[in-house]
Amino acid sequence: MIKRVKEVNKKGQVTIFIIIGIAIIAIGILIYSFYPQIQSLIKPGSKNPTAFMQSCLEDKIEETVEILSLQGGSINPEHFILYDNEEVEYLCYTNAYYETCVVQQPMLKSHIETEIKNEIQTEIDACFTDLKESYEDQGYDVSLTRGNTTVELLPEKIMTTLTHELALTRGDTERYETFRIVLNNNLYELVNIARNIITWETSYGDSETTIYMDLYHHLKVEKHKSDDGSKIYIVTNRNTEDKFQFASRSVVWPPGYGLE
Amino acid sequence: MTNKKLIFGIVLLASVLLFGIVSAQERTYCCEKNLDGAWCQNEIFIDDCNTAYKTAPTHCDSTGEDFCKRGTCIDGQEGICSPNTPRSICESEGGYWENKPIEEIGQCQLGCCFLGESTSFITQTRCTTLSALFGLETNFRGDIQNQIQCIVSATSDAKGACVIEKDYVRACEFTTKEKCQNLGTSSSEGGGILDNLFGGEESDPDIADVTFHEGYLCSAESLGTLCGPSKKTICHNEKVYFIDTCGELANIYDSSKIDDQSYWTYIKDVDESCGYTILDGNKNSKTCGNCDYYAGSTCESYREENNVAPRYGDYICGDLSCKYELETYEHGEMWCVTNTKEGLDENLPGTEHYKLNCYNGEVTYDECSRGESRSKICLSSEVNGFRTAQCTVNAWQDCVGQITEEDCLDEEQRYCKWIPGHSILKDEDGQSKARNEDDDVIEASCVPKYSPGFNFWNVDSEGSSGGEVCGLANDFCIAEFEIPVGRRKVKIDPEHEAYDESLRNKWCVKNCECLENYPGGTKKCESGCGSYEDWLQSMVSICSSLGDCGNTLNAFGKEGYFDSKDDRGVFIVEKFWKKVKDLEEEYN
Repeated sequence: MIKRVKEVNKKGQVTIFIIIGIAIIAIGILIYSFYPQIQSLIKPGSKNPTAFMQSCLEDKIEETVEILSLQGGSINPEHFILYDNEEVEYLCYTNAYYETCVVQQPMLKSHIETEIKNEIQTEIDACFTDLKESYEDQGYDVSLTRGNTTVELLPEKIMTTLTHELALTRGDTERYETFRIVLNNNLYELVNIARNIITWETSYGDSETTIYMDLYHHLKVEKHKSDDGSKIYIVTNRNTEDKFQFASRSVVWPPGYGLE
Repeated sequence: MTNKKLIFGIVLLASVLLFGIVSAQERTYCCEKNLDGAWCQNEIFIDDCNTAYKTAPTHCDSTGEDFCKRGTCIDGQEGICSPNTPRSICESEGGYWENKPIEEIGQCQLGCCFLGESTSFITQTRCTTLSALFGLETNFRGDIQNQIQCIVSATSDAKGACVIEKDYVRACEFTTKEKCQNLGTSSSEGGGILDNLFGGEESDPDIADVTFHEGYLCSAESLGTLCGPSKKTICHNEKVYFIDTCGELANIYDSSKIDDQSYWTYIKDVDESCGYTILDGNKNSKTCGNCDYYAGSTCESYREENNVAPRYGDYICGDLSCKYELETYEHGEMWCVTNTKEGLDENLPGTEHYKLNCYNGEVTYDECSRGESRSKICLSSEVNGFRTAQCTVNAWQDCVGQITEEDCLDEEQRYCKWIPGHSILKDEDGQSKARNEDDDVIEASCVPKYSPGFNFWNVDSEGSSGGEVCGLANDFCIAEFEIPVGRRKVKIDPEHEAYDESLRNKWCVKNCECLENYPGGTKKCESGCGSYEDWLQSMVSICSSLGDCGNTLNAFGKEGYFDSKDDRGVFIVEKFWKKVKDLEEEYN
């Protein structure tokens, strides 16, 4: 009776071992079949250079955009007024009384694009170096030819395009020529409003902020003045809280009878 | 002599203004860039120019095309034009400069660009760029000449239920006909509705059967889709909308229609929906989501904003009005405030004007006059109970020169007030220049309605405005008397200037009003017979209206510190009793 029980146990153990063996083989086949996908799940981005670059650069782009949005579109403003501890660049300025301002930054959109591009260039180089090393560590033969960087302010987004050529070889060769990094930010719209305000400032010396709020309900446009008659405009998207602020000094009236 | 002084004062004032302009013109240098980093600024001293850039001993507007003359800067690639831009700045940034105003440059003319369902008031070049970006054909209308008209012109394509049938499953998306037709094609590229509905398999447009039902909702029973009525709502176009069980948009939230099959079948226009005629935009309505932004309501989550809970769903037409100092202001209303301490007159020294705006339930403010000492003021008005306001230039400069009440109070030209009783504008003979309707000489003055401020504290150090401006209100008031000569019964104490006021008043014939405590209207008085108090008040009013003059409280309630008489603009009054004494000595 005891012997019989032992035989049954033995048979059970064998069955378990067989099941475990089959399971191991099945897992092995699965891993073999879906290795690239599984690898990409384990190491995100290692098989997707664009995603790698997006993840590597987006914080830097976001930080850069935030800084220059509070500083009138420049990373290092040259002619600015201090407002709320920020150096806010004059986009239109006159030092005289009664006169309309002279536009200081006529190509604002292009200027901002250039500013972002210059500010992130070091980071781009560093990210490509990391990308290269990452693939080399995985046994790839990596060929990287550095190319151009363009930054575009577009409706709803800021697109950074890197035309660097990347070839990854491990058996087959995969080639990448363009990397697009997208940041969801409607600075484009805020800059357009700023440009419109500047047109009013340079023509009439002032602008009515409520017009913009009537036309664009999601925007808040504020105008604050400083003691020398300069104005600081703050354009804010109420939904995203993204803001763009800049300064202007135009048609300033002197105190009283203007004898000073 | 006195009047000559006054006239001299006015002439001096005008001369200083004129001289200031002339002298500034003579000594101006145009700096392509100044030391502060600003482009194309006129400086008095050449040392203020950045020597690495051009300079010219003239005003920037006279520097010619190669320098700081203003023109239009064109970003040809983007189709953006910037007016009033000097050539040097434009070209340094890579722009193309035209020596013409923006209105004369064809490629800078704005029009309405139709981008799908939205519009943008931009140049044609910009429209082409954006259209290409969105994969749309360029649709630009140059005949639409303003932004508002452009926004209003935005049209939305007819919408309906786009039914996609695959493997006997009928899915649906609420969209336009064009998008519906593209759905089958786009699904093969991945990421489309078919992927969502059919588990992300590679969809074959030949297999999916796509049909568009204009004017229908996805929840229409007759379409036999997966979608049906639900109690859920979302915010869309600032209104509250029902969504169906597939999450597709249905009609405007109307709690009474939750079980109405027709309401879940056909698209209803906004004007066919609940509460369209209600003027308050259905603020905080539990039953209707037809919000109206211009009437002061918009869709918002009742949970976030602590509003009244709607009967169904999470969204409600929230109230966009504002509370400010216990008063409620409607969305879009504007009003004026000053920083003057409560209870004090406005436009005291230090007063600043602010325009407050109520938008989206939030009060923002514009500082009309900061840094400009009430050169700009806030003016408010009310139309059908709706309050509005604006910052405007304080047009006070020529008030003092107005001699008739009509001209003085012409608010299309200037903001002044007419103060009868005393004239600060006099001819060479000392006679008032003020005239009434019949061209008779009267005693009155035209002064700023909103007294401007100035840096009165600089009066000594810089020989500046304060004294000259306030001095316009200075006057010598010479009272004339007819005294019975030889009479010695008068009590005279010249040392203490004690005298019998009743006799003084009795003998006075002219300008008696400037005698202290004069009650007014004595028998012999021929002109200037008002009471001393009225006269004094009139003079103080003239004085303080001219600017930050007189010994007054400031905007914060703090008192001035000069001798009260001097500072209230009280004038030198000839010492009557001294004259009496002299006369008596002469005749005795």
